[in-house]
Amino acid sequence: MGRACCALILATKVLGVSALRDPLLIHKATYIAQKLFGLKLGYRFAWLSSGPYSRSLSKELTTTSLPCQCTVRSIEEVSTKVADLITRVCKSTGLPPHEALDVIAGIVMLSIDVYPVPSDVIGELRRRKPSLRREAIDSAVKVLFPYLRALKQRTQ
Amino acid sequence: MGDVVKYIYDEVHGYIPLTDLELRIIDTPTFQRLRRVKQLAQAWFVYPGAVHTRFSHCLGAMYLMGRIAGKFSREGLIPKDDLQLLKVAALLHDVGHTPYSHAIETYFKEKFQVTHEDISAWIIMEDPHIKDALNEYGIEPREVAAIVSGRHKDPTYNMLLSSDLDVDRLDYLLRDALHTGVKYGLIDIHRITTTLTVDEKGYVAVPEKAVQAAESFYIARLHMYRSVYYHKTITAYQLLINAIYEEMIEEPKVREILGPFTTGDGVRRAVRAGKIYLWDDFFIGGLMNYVMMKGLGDNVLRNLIRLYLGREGYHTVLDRITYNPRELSEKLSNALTEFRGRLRSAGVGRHNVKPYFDTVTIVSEENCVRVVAGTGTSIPITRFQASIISSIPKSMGILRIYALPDCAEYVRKLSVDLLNHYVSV
Repeated sequence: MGRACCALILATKVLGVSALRDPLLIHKATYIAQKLFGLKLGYRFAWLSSGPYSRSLSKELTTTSLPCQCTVRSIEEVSTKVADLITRVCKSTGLPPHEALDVIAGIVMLSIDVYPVPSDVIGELRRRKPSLRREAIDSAVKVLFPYLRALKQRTQ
Repeated sequence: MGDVVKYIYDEVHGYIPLTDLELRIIDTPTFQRLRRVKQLAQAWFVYPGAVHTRFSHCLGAMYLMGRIAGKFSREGLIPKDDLQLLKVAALLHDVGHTPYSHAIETYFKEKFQVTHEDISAWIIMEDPHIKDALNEYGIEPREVAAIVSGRHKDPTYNMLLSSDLDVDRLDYLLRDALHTGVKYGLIDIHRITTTLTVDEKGYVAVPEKAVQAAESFYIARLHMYRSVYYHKTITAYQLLINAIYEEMIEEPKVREILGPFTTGDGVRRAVRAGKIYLWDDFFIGGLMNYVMMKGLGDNVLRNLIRLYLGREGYHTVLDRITYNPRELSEKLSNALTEFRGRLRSAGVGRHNVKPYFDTVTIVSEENCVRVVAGTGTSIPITRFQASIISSIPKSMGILRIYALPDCAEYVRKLSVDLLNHYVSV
């Protein structure tokens, strides 16, 4: 499956090959790339306790491994953008990259993609991940604010 | 939640109680359509008793949701006020299934990226019969659609309807095992529904004492995959009805009769106009008879319908199952390209041969049942040492080559030449 290959390449470019050991990181990176940076892979994500999750992606990953061929030209550019965003969130929150990815995916999905939209996105996220500090999520929201505003404008 | 106003007798669960709202939804023409959509599409070509419908499955899923969510609300895990919302979501989760279930859905998925989940969400939010019924009782259609699409803000609600151990799977395994007669598809539903719980992070989980019930669920599902859902003959007739639908759409006179049910946008228009109830197995079955009676379409279309009605469809000329689908998929890619090329050069028509490769998730490592320990934290069953689930294969690949009877021998030889050494047992 070509698109699952793109998801694999994206995740390894963003988080290194260690991302392949945890498929949920691939789901989160793909979700952010599609939602914030317009990567057109066509996966649909559900909101589970572990964060954004796509059943199709999970199924396709069972027959995909590196090296493989991704025909989406923008994959390099989008990977760089996702990696930059994670770096910025890591800097502002002090979180390691995989946790920053988790927080970004959670904030974006809760702000844009679920219904009813929670009145307190940060509180909702902390309910699922009690180990996260409120200040860390606050800082991540500040970094994400322009992206979320643009997304909301697009969907209105 | 409202009082019980009626009971329906169900062959799997016994008497199912209905509230006013549930009865109101069931009585709409949109929901009644599900009486005319078979649950297992073409399974009755192999198991004559498998003629049960989406209607009874939806009632069963709602009943199980009532039992599980009712238990959760009594234990304070979810608000009591959301019980009716969750039951309605379960009742409507399959309301958008195409005729012949997954067989025709494949056409809409490949051509228009429209799935039955999309159509269900459209129906819940835009079909005048369903939307009005929900609004009358103060249930917000968008919130129901969010649960059905797995996008409710509370992930526990999404997982109750869409995870490994959800009310959808629990009902269809029991119901399909009963109607096909496949005994090893049975599961201990009582044990599962009375022990299921929610862990501290909102995951639906089983306690340690119910691990065997969860294991038996996975094993039963694996058997059902092999004996029913991916049975070689059942898949063959699903591919055949799909080819017939495709050909009907390409034939102008037949396409006209199909009306809006030829594109994703058309289906959505029909939903908005309250006309989706016309799209059922009877419509497509009747249209096949009409094509034959009036001699519509070309020989290809009429031949496919003749083979379908006479149960003379695709022969399986190659059939392999592997528990390492990644390896098979990598090896096969080039071989299948050459195989298709050779068929084209030999002038074999596109519907005469159907190469089929699919993967089935047996246990999803990242979304499997979780086992909750005494402390309230849970771990995936695949990492629970005492469980046999850690040792069973996680996915299965199926490779088949199907051919119509008149070219089966030629295709069999070609398959042996080009593909057999990749998939030798």
